[in-house]
Amino acid sequence: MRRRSFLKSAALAGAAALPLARAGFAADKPAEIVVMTWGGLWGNALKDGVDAAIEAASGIKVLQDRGASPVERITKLKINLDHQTFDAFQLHDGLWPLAVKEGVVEPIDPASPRLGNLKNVYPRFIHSHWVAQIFSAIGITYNTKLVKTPPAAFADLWRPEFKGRIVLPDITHSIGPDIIAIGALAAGKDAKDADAGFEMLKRMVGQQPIWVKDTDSIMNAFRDEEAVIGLLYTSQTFTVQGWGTPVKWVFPAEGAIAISWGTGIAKNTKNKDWAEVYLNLTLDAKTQPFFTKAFNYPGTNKGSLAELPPELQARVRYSDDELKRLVELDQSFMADHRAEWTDRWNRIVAAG
Amino acid sequence: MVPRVVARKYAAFALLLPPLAFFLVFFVCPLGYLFFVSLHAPSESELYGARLTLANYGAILGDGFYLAIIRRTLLLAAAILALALVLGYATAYLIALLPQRLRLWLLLLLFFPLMVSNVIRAYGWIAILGRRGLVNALLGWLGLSAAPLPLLYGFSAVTLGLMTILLPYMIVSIVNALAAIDRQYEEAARSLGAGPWRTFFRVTLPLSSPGVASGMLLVFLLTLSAYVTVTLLGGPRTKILVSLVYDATTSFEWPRAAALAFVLLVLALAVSAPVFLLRRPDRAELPR
Repeated sequence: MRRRSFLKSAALAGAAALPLARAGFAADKPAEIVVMTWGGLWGNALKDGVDAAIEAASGIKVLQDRGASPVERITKLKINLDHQTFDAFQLHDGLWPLAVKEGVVEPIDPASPRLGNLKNVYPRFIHSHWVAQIFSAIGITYNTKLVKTPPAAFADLWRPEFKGRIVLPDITHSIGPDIIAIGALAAGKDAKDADAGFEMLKRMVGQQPIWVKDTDSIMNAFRDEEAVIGLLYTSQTFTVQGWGTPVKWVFPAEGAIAISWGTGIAKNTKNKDWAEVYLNLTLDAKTQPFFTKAFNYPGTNKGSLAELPPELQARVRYSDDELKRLVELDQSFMADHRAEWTDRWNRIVAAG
Repeated sequence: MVPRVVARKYAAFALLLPPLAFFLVFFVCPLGYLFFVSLHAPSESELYGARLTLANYGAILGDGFYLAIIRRTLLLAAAILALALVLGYATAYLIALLPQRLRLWLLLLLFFPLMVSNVIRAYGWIAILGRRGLVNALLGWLGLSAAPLPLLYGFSAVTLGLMTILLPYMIVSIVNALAAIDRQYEEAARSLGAGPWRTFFRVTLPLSSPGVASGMLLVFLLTLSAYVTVTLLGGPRTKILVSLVYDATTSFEWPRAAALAFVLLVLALAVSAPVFLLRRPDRAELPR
């Protein structure tokens, strides 16, 4: 282990040791716990931050299952319900209602002695079955060199000059159904007005957008100049800028869509106590900066911002006005309509 | 004492038993279960609802949208099949004429691209066909187009992408069949006055038909089940049946996904049967 990594682990172990010492455990300590999550930079940030912390504090190794898409994680949990092989898993806010509905996630016990970090997390990020560790906002990203008149609102995505150069997540993307709510907002209606949203989708099809299945493809479309405008998170826009592409993120006039990512405990896990310890570590002010440094996502722990260098703090901080104007979509409503919306979306987009 | 012939029969059966058991446990049983799932209503929290129904099949076969997707699936398969057959046969014919050692090297070369994952290959095509890709750069440099052409995300991009994967299967199947034909049959036909075309259609083609049929089956079935290339190069406007199976699973509509999978299976069987009948080496007019 390199000196720097060792010091990092030792600091994190210190952070984790106190709650571990006081927490009573119902089951024996396992050799490892299994966490389903994303790969790439995300999985690495999780490994360097949270996984290293739990291993340093308890000796438990973390096996990351990075092979399943978010929806497939729910499926894998579902088929393993009788003999659960997973302990914790991560999703974005839009899929948690589905995980709850499918019965694959344990409820959060706010009184658990192993969830001490909950008291430091902004209450809006604590949910009945999961807790967010980082958050961001979905707005408009555009190429400053190729777009003459900068966009100011979601409605600008429908401007004729962008025909064929718009990149959007398709319906199977984690935030795919958001385009319906965004369409409704762009039409001046309520985000839950699905009919207005689908009318706007029909108009969007005429704009011949590039529909992609994952966020990396959105970023690549900007880098390759396939697209000059599209939907993207604030954070990933910084990543594209880092590649040398002249892009800028805009907080839309209708309000940016709030999005958060977090952790839940697998239903019927054999290591529930340790899964709680793991979840608690995802909420730690010391581990959340690993994600902020990798993605420019602010953490949900009130103290995590203070752990960052000043320039990074300035970059990821949302103003009070922006925080007020973040649109929180009704994820339960959207989850209830996911199958119907997927079908309607396909009929409009895929029917050709 | 068991007669030797009977003992041999038992031994042959014993040899067959492991693959048969494997096939039964890992293919037939899951397929049966899949069919069972397809006959149920969806459930909000379970894999499938309690009620038995044919509604999933009714919803697919009585709906213009699904029928359009089925048509698109068959059209794509037909386009790939036709292109692979024409290009594949011509290439295979030339390769079959070569000495055996050279032929083997060429076949090995043909399989080289298949050693790269379909995902990587698809991203390669994106780099080639994209707005800032090789083709558009070349067209711009030659002054043949003022603005980059939209070459990606359509039927033609998918066809091109799949052809590069599937053409080797067709070529190899036909080369093996052609190489096995005794050249004396063709020489006999020519010496009896048949022209090159007549010799080809009356002798060579019928004798190579088992290779053509197996190549067609491979290409057709692999096209029907292609997902990565179709998704990455075609986008949602080129969705085929497999894409809808995936979409149904992402919204946890398992019975619908199962029914779509069975419709796909029936399509595969319906087209495979006549292709299998193409195997007519007995049609060749051989000297007796």
